Amino acid sequence: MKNIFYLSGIFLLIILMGSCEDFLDLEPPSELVTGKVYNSESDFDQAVLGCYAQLLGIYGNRWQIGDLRADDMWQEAQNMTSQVLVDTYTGHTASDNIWNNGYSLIHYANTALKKINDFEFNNKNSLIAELKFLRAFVYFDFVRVFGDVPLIKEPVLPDEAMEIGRTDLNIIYEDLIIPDFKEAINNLPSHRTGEDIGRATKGAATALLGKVYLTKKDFDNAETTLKSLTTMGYSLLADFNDIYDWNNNEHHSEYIFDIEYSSNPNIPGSSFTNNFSPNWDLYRAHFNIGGVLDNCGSPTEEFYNLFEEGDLRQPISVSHGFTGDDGVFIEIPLGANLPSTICLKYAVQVDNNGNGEANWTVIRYADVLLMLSEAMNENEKTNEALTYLNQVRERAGLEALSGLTQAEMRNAIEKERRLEFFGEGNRWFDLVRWGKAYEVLESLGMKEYMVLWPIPQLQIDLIGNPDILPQNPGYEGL
Amino acid sequence: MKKNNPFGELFYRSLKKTLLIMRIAILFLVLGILQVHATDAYSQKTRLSLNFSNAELIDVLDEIEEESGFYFLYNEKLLDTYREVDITADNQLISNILDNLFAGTDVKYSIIDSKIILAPEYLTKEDGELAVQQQQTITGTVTDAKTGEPMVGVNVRVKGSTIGAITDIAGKYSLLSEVDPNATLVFSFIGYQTMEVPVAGRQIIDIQLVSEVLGLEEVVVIGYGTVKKSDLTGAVSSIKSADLVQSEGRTRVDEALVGKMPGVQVQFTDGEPGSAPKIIIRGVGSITAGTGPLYVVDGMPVDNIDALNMKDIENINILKDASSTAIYGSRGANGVVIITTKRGTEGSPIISFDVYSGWQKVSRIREMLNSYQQAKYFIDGLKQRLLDMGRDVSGHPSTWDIPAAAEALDVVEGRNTRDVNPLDYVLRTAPTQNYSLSVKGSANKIKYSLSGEYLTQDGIIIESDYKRLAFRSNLDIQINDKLKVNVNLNPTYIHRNKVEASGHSSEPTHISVIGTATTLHNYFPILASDEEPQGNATYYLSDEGYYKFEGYGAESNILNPVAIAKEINRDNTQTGFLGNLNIIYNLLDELSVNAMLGGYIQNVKETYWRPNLPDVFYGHAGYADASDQRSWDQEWIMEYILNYDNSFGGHNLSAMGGFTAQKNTYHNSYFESNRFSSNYIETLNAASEITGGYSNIYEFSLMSYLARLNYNYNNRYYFTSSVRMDGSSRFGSENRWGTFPSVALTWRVSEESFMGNIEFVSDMKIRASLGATGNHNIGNYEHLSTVGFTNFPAGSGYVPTSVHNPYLGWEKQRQWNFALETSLFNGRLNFNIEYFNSLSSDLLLDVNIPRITGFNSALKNVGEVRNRGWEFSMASTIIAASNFRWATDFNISGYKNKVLSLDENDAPIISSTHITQVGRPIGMFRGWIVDEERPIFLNWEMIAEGPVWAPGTNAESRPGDRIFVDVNGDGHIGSEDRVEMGSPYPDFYYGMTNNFSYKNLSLAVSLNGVQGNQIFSESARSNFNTKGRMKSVIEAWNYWMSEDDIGDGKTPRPHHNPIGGNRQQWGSWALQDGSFLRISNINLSYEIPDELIQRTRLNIYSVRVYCTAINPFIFTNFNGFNPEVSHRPGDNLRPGMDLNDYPIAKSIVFGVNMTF
Repeated sequence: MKNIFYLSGIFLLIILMGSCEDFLDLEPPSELVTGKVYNSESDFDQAVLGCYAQLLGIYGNRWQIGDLRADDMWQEAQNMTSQVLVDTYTGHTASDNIWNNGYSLIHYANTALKKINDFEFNNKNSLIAELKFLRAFVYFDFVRVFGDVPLIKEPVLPDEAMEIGRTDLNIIYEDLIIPDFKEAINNLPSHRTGEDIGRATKGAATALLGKVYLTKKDFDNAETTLKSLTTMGYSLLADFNDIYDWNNNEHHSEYIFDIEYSSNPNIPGSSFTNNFSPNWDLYRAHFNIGGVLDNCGSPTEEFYNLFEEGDLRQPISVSHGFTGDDGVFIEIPLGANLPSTICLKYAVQVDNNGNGEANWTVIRYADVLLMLSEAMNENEKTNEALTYLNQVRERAGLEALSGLTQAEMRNAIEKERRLEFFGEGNRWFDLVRWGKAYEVLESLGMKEYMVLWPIPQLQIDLIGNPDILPQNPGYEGL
Repeated sequence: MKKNNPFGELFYRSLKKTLLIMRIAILFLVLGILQVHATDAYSQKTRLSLNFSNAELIDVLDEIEEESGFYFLYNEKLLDTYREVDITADNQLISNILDNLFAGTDVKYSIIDSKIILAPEYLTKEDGELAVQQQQTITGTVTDAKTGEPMVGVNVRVKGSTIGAITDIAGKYSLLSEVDPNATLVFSFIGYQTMEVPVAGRQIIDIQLVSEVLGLEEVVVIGYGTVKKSDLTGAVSSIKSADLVQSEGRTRVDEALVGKMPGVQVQFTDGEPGSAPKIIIRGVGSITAGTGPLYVVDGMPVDNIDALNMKDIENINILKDASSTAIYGSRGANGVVIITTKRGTEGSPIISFDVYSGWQKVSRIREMLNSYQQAKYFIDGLKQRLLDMGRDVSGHPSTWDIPAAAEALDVVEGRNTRDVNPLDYVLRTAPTQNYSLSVKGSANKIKYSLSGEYLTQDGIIIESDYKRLAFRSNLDIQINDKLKVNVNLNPTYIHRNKVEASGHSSEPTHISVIGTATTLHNYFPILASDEEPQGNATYYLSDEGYYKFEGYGAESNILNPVAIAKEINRDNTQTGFLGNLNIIYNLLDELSVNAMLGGYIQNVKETYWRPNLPDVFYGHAGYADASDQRSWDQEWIMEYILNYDNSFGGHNLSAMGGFTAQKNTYHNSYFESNRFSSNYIETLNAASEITGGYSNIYEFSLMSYLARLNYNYNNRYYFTSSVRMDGSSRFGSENRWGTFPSVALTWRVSEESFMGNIEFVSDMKIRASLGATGNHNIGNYEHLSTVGFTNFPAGSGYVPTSVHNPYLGWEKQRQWNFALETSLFNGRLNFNIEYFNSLSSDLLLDVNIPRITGFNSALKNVGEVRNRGWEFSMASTIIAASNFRWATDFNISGYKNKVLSLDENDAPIISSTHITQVGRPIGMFRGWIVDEERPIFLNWEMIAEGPVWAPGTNAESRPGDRIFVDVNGDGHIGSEDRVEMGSPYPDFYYGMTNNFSYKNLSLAVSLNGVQGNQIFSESARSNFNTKGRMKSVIEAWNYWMSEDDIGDGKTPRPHHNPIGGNRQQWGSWALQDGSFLRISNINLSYEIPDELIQRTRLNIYSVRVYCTAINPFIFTNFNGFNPEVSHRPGDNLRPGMDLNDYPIAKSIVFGVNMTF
């Protein structure tokens, strides 16, 4: 009988000597813990795709920043008080959305970047480049929307986060955005094939870096960078309307980088068809838009009048109606509490609300041409700049311009960008970049400080220390 | 002996016969008591080794006392303590030793508890020869004041003389000489207080002697050990099997605790048969984590005690203060319920059979409007709406712009006189039965206690029932003098048919039996067998025989309550197996080791079936619904404990140290489908595809080191300290181990010499303790960072979905406890006052964190809650005559809960009904407060005074609408005026038990109550919304109708489309006083006299018949089914809600208990 005692004693000792921590270190059998993934090439590939998926959230309502806050778009917003109201410049869920989803993406990217260092595989540099591309892409939005923001290059824990303040945006450009894009240019593939179509390419990184330089008014670097794109096989589509034919090939010769949505039931779709729809039952029935909505992002009548006679871009950018199935143009009825204009760039049939096929265009070749034109004009190569501007004009069915002064050229480029990119999230950023936002928008209620957006107030409140994380001027005490 | 008085002889002969009968009866009683008591911790199986030669008996007895824990009671005059004896024993049973010791003498012994009574044989003889042989002047019986049992060997002496006598086995004594009527008798017995009684001319003097250590020798089970009650240093409440007897007829063990213990709230929140009461010990100390106590059954921590057989229970001890619970470390913060089951006894088998049968019916129902009132209420509501719209209402209601519904007009105009409460269709008088059988005894060094129970109980809602089958086998095997093995096995089976009782009913998708039955007006027919009401309205009867309530103007579209109960099947089966093995090895006399291995498995299977009946379940027309849910819960535990016990020179020391580890694995799966082509097959294999489901595995492991030291000096100064170190898989890697210390000091004032003169104080103790515990009910993997999957057109990816928090730990609790225990008048009156102050900190909250971490919130240990409270209990024996006893126990407790901090910004946690904010208790009711002074606007002048609801909108208040308190003083009522408006916490709660016994008859009456809490009646949203399309509570009657007809001046008007905030969710009109006083138990039992049993000539030992009334009466102002509400039992942030929950029952059972 003593044996039993001794045996149990030995058992006890085994337990005591054995690794307690192993016994207590339990991982959930039915949930995947972070420690288990980030372990192989395919894991990292999926981690990168997880970051892309985050873009869908960021860009879902970016139009409210890029277009709605500027001068060519308005919306009736009785039931959408949480959204940006042009007349009062209040409501900032769109910028909150950029901050919140953006920092999540940065965390995901940083997590993967940290872990990927421990592994070696063929595609490693390309995946790193892709993660850095995504990180720089988000930061480029951050500095343009918020100014100085916390610079996070490694995952941070909640307690550490309480001490992290804002970094000067120039440091962010030099420290992260420019080097990350450069690394992306070096290591990303020129083309994506098969399933990978839609992921970042060398061209996307180059185009965005060009935009970064242009934004920083570094016109020399902008010109060189953007010029390199002209030899990378991109070209304008012959028909402007084809850019918005979302049911056909979205990855055409003019495409450089999009936020990819899909109407596939298992993949998030876009709600742009809703977002640019008047509250007009005929129109909504035609495109299968359901639900009760206000009149959403509508072009202004002034914008309609900006187009030159014969501008092929006008009918799809700003229209007084739409063409039904039978090919008959239906005009918006007057006086029915409806806007007089519609933007048809995202007007496609949807099978379900918020599950449209339309992508969000981040950058396309026309943008590169106009940016290159702008950079060269600033570099006093106005004549050469004109050729790039004219490529865009000619595709729009307009006569080529010639013999412009540098200042005239500036105005021409500005107008061309305004007409070319309506509803594509560029107008506000262009106005700010040109330093013309306040001048143009003051009459709409803009105050000078509003070139920057407010940092989400919850974040300010959470830190609770203006020495660490101050609100942008003018928005204190929101 | 001389027999020289023939007259006297005749007298004595008849007396002898009478005495004989009495003695036989008493002998049986004593035997019975012997056997009952043999189950106690000190039992005859104790083994000893002795070696004496030529020693005096007194030394041998001293040695036995010291070795065994037994003590001897004897009359020194009758026992030759200086007799020389030789005895050698090597690990022999105490009974063998005693047999040897007194072999050849006339001394007999009997063992009761830890007492060994020694008396000469002639005192134990049945014929009482001694008593009848001599002239006697005074006779009487001496019994034990506490147990009532006769005492043998008591010294009775006439003070100041040599006249004396000794009591016999029946406790009888006779003084044989003349005694001066003015003399005083002295009764003395070792271990009992000596009593002096004046004769005062009496010839019969019966006496009860009081033990000097009354009640204090009881053993109390604390965590990982036992202590004598007198040595207890913590706050522990106990209930023993004898006290559970009065709860015979209750389904569950935990139900029997109601009102019995201070600081322990037992709430019957759910009347579904077999459902667990909610137990809260010393308040709620957590915001998001579980608040239920830890259950420990025979040393095994278990999740629930659903299948425990009440008749198996030996005792239940609830550890309340942190010095007691700290030994359970990270699981102790909500209190610990320690349950010990009955074990085998020495000797031949004792078989018990118990059967009871009874009936239950609903305890109380909500009082609501009758048919006429309801119909009128609806039509008046329509009229109010039309008046608001400025329409003409002078004509017949059927001609109004919105015509009044035909079914309501039929009632008001007398065409339909039906007035039947739909609850009558779904509630019933439900039978219950229980059979239990047990056998206890010993054979070949194995003591056994085996039992089985079968319980069947129908629910008071039709189609619901509960069946339970439970077996238990407790074996104690003495392998040799040093090694003992205990084995406990407990297989169980539970089956329930459940009904969808609870919830709202205002839509055809709402499936709630009670909800629909309280929403449906009394004038609608329900079943095909009902007489269809006369009148103009038409009623639609489905093919299945249920009336369909759809498309009526005066009634919401709801389902038929009988159809919900009958057509939907929810079938739940639970099987369990609990077993553990204890190996106890005595290394040394003072040192023993106890190894325990145990485990349990619990399986639950639940299937659901709702057929596709488009006319019946028209909210889900076109498809059936089925699901199949299973879970498998398994746990193993091992435990190694060393015990050391020693005493020297007034120092008493016991120490315990050990190690334990356990691991739990929980699997669950759920599959559902609504793709059935027919109603024939109810299982998922008939579905064309599975439309939803999951299967998961969760694991949890715990490893602990524990130690405790108990020290006292001269039973006067006590010191207890314990410490536990817990390592848990639930906590982050940086916070995996926690230490939970405790210390307690006790001063037994009554042992001090200066207390010696204060005779009425039998025991007095002052206790103080401080301890730290934890609450680990936080979920299994919260500290880990997990990933979630997302889809993207270029493929699927993953992202981290939660923050890795290596610092995540248990919720901590620190508790102070102070107590004064007093026992007066030889233990006949006991008081206990406790005060506690507990601070729960590091409470888990999902707090917002800076988004730069990648996440918007994370679980953190941040909140702080304090509970301060007091407890008072009293136990008294008011009358303790030989054939009548009356004892009363009373307890009352209260506590105050206060949130000290929440997250970094202390942002209040707000839901639509509750608010939790710093400085206030957790989960206070939130809403608009009705102005008590001016409850409604009586006229336009009052409207002008305001404050009105939503001025300038269609909902703006008008006369007849409620007036709310303008909290922020802005002149009108808006969302900012929605504030804390009431409390779910009582000021105090209490319980009382009265035990009466007269001869063989006993009566126990228990009551309990709470005072000062409020109940938020969520059903008011349906039943008091002033709209009238759902049946209204009686409080809606006597309403305002016009400036000239203001009703009672406080009840708002009905309104077809309520305005003025009358229907907003929520306001103080939905609050009710939750105070109640309930007679929780009346138990009457009768022990059949032994002579009657004897006459049967059956081998029956005892027969007891009993009747128990459970919850027979309740006194409360609450208009609902049950004032103990908890619609969301796991949600600490939203307590005190009532929503048509399964009503509780009152019941009566009749039973008989036989022992063979």
